[in-house]
Order: sequence, then C-alpha cells, then structure tokens
Amino acid sequence: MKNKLYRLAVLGIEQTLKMKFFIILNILMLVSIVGVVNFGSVKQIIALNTGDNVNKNILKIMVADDTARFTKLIQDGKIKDVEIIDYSEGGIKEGNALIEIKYDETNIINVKITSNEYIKDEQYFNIQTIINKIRTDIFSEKYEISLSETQQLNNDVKIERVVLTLNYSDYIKYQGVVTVIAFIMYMLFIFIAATISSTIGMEKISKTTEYMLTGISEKAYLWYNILQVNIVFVIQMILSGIYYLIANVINSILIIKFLGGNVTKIEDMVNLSLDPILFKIIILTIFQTVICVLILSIIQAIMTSKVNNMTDISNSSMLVIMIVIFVCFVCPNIINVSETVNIFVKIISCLPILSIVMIPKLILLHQISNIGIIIAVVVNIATLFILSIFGARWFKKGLLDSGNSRKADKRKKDEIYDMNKTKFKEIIFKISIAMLMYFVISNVLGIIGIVLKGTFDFGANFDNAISIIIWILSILPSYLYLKPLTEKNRIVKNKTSIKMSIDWIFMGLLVVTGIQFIISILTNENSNFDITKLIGADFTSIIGITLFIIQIAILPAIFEELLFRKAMLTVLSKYGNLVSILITSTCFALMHQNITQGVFAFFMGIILGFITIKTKSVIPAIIIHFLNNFTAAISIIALQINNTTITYISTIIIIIVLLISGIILFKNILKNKIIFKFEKTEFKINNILSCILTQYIVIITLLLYVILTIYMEIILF
Amino acid sequence: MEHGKSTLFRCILNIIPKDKGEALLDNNPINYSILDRIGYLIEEGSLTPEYTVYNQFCTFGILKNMSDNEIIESLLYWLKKFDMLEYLNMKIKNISKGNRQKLQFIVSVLHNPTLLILDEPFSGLDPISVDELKSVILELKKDGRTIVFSSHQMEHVELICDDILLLDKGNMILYGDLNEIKNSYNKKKISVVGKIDIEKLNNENIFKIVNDKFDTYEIYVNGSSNVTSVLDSIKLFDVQNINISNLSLEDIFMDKAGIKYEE
Repeated sequence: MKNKLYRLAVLGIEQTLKMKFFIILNILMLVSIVGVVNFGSVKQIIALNTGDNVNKNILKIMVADDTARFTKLIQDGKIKDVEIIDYSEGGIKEGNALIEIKYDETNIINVKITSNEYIKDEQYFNIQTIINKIRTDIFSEKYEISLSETQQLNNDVKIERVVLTLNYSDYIKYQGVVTVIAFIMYMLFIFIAATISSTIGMEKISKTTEYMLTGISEKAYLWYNILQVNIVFVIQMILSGIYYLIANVINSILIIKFLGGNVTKIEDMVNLSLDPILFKIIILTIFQTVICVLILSIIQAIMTSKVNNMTDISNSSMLVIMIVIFVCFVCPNIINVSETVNIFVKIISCLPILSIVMIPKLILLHQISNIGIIIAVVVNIATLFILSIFGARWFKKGLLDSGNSRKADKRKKDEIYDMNKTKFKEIIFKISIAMLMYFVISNVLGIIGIVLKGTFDFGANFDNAISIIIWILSILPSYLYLKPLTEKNRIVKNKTSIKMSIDWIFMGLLVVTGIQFIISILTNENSNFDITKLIGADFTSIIGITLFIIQIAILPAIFEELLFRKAMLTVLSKYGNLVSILITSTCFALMHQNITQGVFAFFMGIILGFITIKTKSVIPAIIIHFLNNFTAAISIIALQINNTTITYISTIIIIIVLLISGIILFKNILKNKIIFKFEKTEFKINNILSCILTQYIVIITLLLYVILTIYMEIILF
Repeated sequence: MEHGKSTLFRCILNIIPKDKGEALLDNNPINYSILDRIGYLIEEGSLTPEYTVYNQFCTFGILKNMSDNEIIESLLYWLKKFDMLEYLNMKIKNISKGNRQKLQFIVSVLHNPTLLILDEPFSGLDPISVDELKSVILELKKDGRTIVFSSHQMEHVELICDDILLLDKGNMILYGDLNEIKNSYNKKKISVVGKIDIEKLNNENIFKIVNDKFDTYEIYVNGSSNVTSVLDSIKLFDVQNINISNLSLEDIFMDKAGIKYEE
C-alpha cells in the first residue's frame, strides 16, 4: 500500500510539473521577480547613460566638516554641479548626499559619502579631486614639504561610500515579519484549497474515486491527494526562492559593473538579529503552518467529497478561504495589547488553525508561558491525528454518496408531500427575516439617534420625539413585510360578542398584573433594572409627560400588538394555537432586548396571544397592553415628580379594576369553563422543532438577539 | 430505480462494508492484495477528463501494483486490439463516448485480472463496437477468467452468462444455472401471426396473451404438455405463422417481476 501511495504521489507531482500552466507560471514568476528586484538599478543605469534629467545633475550635499576646508573650496566654485544645503535631521532624501570628513593623525583624512542612490561618476570624481587636494594641503602643511613632492608620495584618498537603497530602520522589526508570514499564508491557503478541491471534485464527478478505492484505502487516497498538492506547492516555493537569488545576483552584477558600488552583504540587507523570541516565533510559525495546512486540506477534501457539481466545488473552497481570512483578520483582534489576556483567550489560542495567528502575538506580548505553547502544539498534533482517522471515513462516505442515495430521496419526498411542513418552514423563515429586519433597523437607527441627540441639543422633548420616530420606523417595516401573509390565511371572521371581549379584557388584566407582581417579587433584590435608563423624559413639562406616555403606553400597545398578535399570530395559528402563541411570545420577548422586560413580555405574550385567539380580534390585546403600560407609566411619572396623590388614586383605581376582574374570572371559571379550552392541531412537536432549528437564518437571528441582550444587560444594568 | 447491483459490486470490492455475509475469491477473503487481481468496469465511467490516456492508465496501473513496463506493454496490447493506438496521447475529454467506454473496459482488464466485474459494459456503444466487445469478453471467458456481468439487456446475458442472478429492488428473485432455469421453467411461448379473437380463445392453460403489434400475438402456455391443446384451439382461427419456443430470459424476468408486483 505504501509503495502504491508513493508511486501515485510521484506520478501526480510529475504530471503537475509537466502541465503547461505550471511552466508558464514559473517563467512569468522568474521574469517578474528579476524585473522587480533590478528595477531600481536599471533605472539608475538608464538615467546615468542618458543624463537628460537637468535637476538631477546638481547634487545637493550636506557637509560635516571640522575645519570647513571642503565647504570653502566648494564656495570658491571648484566643484561643478554641486550645491551645499544645511544638515537636516530628517535623514537623507532623494538627490541628497551627506559627506562626512574627519581629520586624524594616521590617515590625515577620512571621508564617508552617504546617499540614497549612486552618485554620478563625474560628480564623484570632482569630489574625489577636491578631497585629494585638501589632503595634500594638510600633508604639506603638517610636514612642510612642497606640494609636488607630496603628490608623488600619495595615492588617491580612499572614500567610503554608503548607498541607502533600502531603509530597514523604518520597519517595525517583528511586525514586519509577522505581516509577511501572514500574507504568504493567505496565498498558500487559497492555492492549496483551490487545487485540492478541483482535483478531488473532478475525480469524484467522473467517478474515478470509486475505482481508486478498489486499489487503495480511503485514508491513503485522502493523503495521496493532500500530499500531492502540498508537495507541488513546496516545490514552487523553493523555485521562487531560487528565482529571488538569481535576481539578486543579477542585481549585484549590475551594481558593480555599471554603478561602481560596493555590494551590501545579505546579512546587512536583512537586518535582523535572531534573538530568542524571534527564533521561537519563526520555528513555531513554520511548524504550525505545516499542521494548519494539513488540517485545512483535510477539511477541504471532506467538504469537496460531498459535492456533485463544479459550482459546489468552488463554493466549498470559498468557504475554506473565508475561514482562513476570518481567522487571520478577526482572531488577532481578540487579544487586547494593553491588557493581560484572560483564560478564555488562552484556551482559544490553543485551538488548531487559530493558534497560528494567536500564539506568535501572545509570545510577542510575553503573555504565554512555554507550557502554554506546548499545550497548543499538542492540541494541534492531536487534532491532525484525529482528523486523519475520522476524516477519512467521512471523506469516503461523501465520495460514494452521489447525492441520490435513498435516504436523501426519501427525505425529499416526505418534504414534498408534507406541504404543511414546507409552508410552516417558509413562514418561520419569514418571521425570522422580520425579526432580523427589526434588529438591524432599530440598532442602526438607534446609533443614528444617539449621534443626532449628541449633535443637536434641543432638550429632552426633542430626544423623545426622535426616539418615537425611530421606534416607529424600526417596527413598521417588519409589520409591512408580514402583513401580506395574513391576507392569505385570514382567520374566519366570527368575532365574539363585545360583552365577552370586555370580560376577556378584565380577566387578561388580572392575570397580567398577577404575573408582573410575581416577577417583581422574584427579581426585586437582584435586578437593577430601571426603565428610565432606556427611556428618559422631561417630567416637568406637560409635553414631556405626553411624549413619555405616547412612547411607553400608546405606541407599543398599537404597533407591537399589530406586529405580534395580528400579523405573526394570524399567520401561525393555522399550525396550532399553542405553537403560534409560544413562537410569538418568544419573538415578543426577544424584541425587548433585555432580560427583565423580556421575561415579563414572554408571559404577557402568552396571555395576550391566548385572548387574541379566543376573541378572534386584536383589539382586546391592544387595550390590555395599553392599560398595563399606562399604569406603569403613571407610576413612573408619579415617582419622578414626587406626587403621592397620583400614586394613591391610581392604586385605588387598579385595585377596583382588579376586584371586578377577579369576580368576572371567578364567574367564568364556575359557569363557562369551556371558553378556556384549546383546540388541538395535529402538527407534531418534532416537525415544529425541525422546521425551526434547521434554518440557519433563524439560528443567526436568535444568536444576534441573545448576544445583544447579554451585552445590554452588562452595559446598562 | 435502484436494484442494488452497483451496491453488490461495491460490497464485493470492499468499498462499502457488508452488513452480513462475506465475499471470497479462491476461498480467500478479499483484501487489498486480492483486489489487485480483480478488474472492475464502472457503469458511468471512471476516467478523468483532464488526463491523457497514457497518464490515466499509468495511475490505474500503479493502483493495481503493476510496474511501469507492464503498464505500457499491456496498454499497447489492448489499444492495438481495439485499434485505438492513435488515442494514446489524447486527452480523455476529447474522445467520443463509445471510445471512452472501450477505454473503460481496458482499465478493467489492464492488470490481467482473474475476476472481472463488468457493470453495464455495452452502454453507449454502437452495434459494431458491441459485437467487438462481446467477442473480447467471450475470449476472456474461454481463457478461464471469472466474469461477473451486469446488464439490463437479457440477450447479452443469455449469450455471455452461465449462471444468473435476478435482482429486483435489492431482493434476489432468481438464482442459478441459466440452462437449468430455462429448462425447469415449465412454460412455453407460442408466437402467432394472424387474426385471433382473444375472447373466444378460451383455454385454461393459457396464462397470458400479449398483443403488441397488429396481427401478432404471443401466447404463454402453462406446462409444455399443454401446448398441443392450445395449438388445437388456435387452429380454429385464420393463422399464417406459428412458432413455438422456450421462454427467453427476458420473458422469465418479466414473469417473475410481474408476479412480485402483483403481490
């Protein structure tokens, strides 16, 4: 088996290397690398030979000269095409040069010319002649010999030339390396993901895989595909390295031959001293890259094995690339540079694939011990090991399943025949879209509102008005989106009598108040919930109080009831009363986006839904909702303006109402039990759950709401 | 319609695990070394369109543990046999469907297998190629290879097979030696050309009358001894041609499957 695997892999690699695109790619790569590396030198050579650029003929120099001999000579006009400028701290710019002249005992004169590019030969010779002259002058002055004699004694002055074509000092030392590695990683993953998916997908579609499995095991086949692609990639990497070396050799030849410069050594070019941290990072990165590539390759192969056409192949590789991009861009941001990381981040950083970007950063920040690194490495290796065992099985399962297996067929058939289920699924989807719409619009507009309130300071009434507009704008689209559905499934208009409706309103009020009472007892000590943190108002003016009542009592009563009890409940009630009530109450609870209100809203939703179904009208629910919110608003207002009379009066009214409600409820329980009974529908609970939980959009919506709720809870209370 | 024949082959070839039972070749359970002696022709074709013929066969040869020389020799032999040498360096996507099917056959015989599994070998072939392939298969049969052969066309089965197994929706409905089955099947078919009034032809031994074409009747008779009595009743009508034969395999299959469906 190993022999077969080896020979197959070699054959596959040979075939790839023979492919036209591979050869063309390499030629292009060689040409482009040589071109890019030598571009600067060639440009200079051309500029040197043509010399058409007038401005560049004048060399601007900064002189650091102790005795000012050099400056004096230049000012006398002894050197052509040279202009002296003041020494600036900003470094050496294009077209400038720094000439440092030092005098000492032994060599008499030391000269160092630093410039960004190579100085033209004529200018250089001019400078050299001047310096020679200065040297001779000094020499003759010192030893009192005639000028002609000294000229015979001395050769030309040796001038040290430094050319700064690349400025490494600007680089942030480590960050540069990390960025480069990350970039190479993206390219690597995209290349490997695409190649693996295309080879496996092609073989799967043409059923080659089935024949391959008669010769080798599924595990061997998986590794054959993965290794083949990865080895080709490694070969490509080595070739690219060679091209880079070739380009540099050509560049140095050009510099020595045509520009007369000294070639900087490779160590100087890459000015990185290997300190232990950097060494650790490099070793770990290489190691984790290998493991990460293999893990991703296996995932890619498994995903590709499930596909049945070319479109799905590209989709599957897109998915893997998305994972990689997500990991590389999002995960490093989990680590806060200024704080000590918590245990959660440490655990995440050990996970495979994630560790490749997180561990190096943690090492840089000195936030991970050697034990942590070892754990990460072990986790990586273990994942690879487990994946290669179980992955091969899934891989084979996917390969042999050509998409029309009996199970899938049967499931499809069931779904087609079970039209109810399909329709229900569709409705759940639409409801979650409506919820999502509310979520997005309310939050976006909320942020805009905060900005507006911050910029225009027109007082609390203005703020409240904006809040009201935002609230209407966010809930209205959802209602309008769901409304058309209700016309299709309209409940039979067979409303209950007005007297019965009033009975229901009283009973509803009693139960709602009861629930509120119980919840307030249960949460009284723990909760810091305060509605005025969410909705502030100017309680001193009548306009402010009116706006507050509109905001708290009237608008929610109308719009929320229309959305939840009219649109949603009507659409859902076909599939069972209990189900529809539970789903609408859950949505109603989620909509409040905080836990205290949410829990109450859930139970209130159940009561209101029940009443709506019983009376076949949304108006009782609107009235109950309004009265409930109105009493709450009144009590808040009374508390804010410190008016105890209002509190007393409202309490007395509430008690009277509740007493009446109690009597009505008692009467109905005794005489008219049948009105509390529920019609049962045949729609099964497992159908409902499967319809709800198998839809991505539903789960995403739920998650968004839950995350925001937790966030609000932490931020506000 | 899935009757389970490809699944059966996959079970034999160890590609999918068996729920129960075992597959043996020369009394050895099938493992990878034994799989190298099995040839398999896949129904819909297992050739990768991007590969050239030579590359494809190198891959498949290595898969069956052949050395490079063996692969080339065997490939050239078979290509010569089918007169397809000019395709050696062509890409598979440029080759016609019939020729691809022949290449598919060469894949299954490349490594000189002792057991040959052919899943619908004649699909997509023109009549001349069918004859060509049929003669090659018979040659291999004479050579002493075991051939497992699947087809929907019963005349091919009758020509090639010694033993047959009829599968219907995963259930075995008939298994055994072909000739024995045919002999033991105590029914006869009388093909009649002429005008017959079916309602008047009232014989308790007739169990089915098929009238596909105008003036052509196929009368199925229970028990060969009853043929004469049926013939007597047929003679009453204006008949031009009468032909008495054993039931073909197709008829047997229709008969068996038909009974099952009625149940």
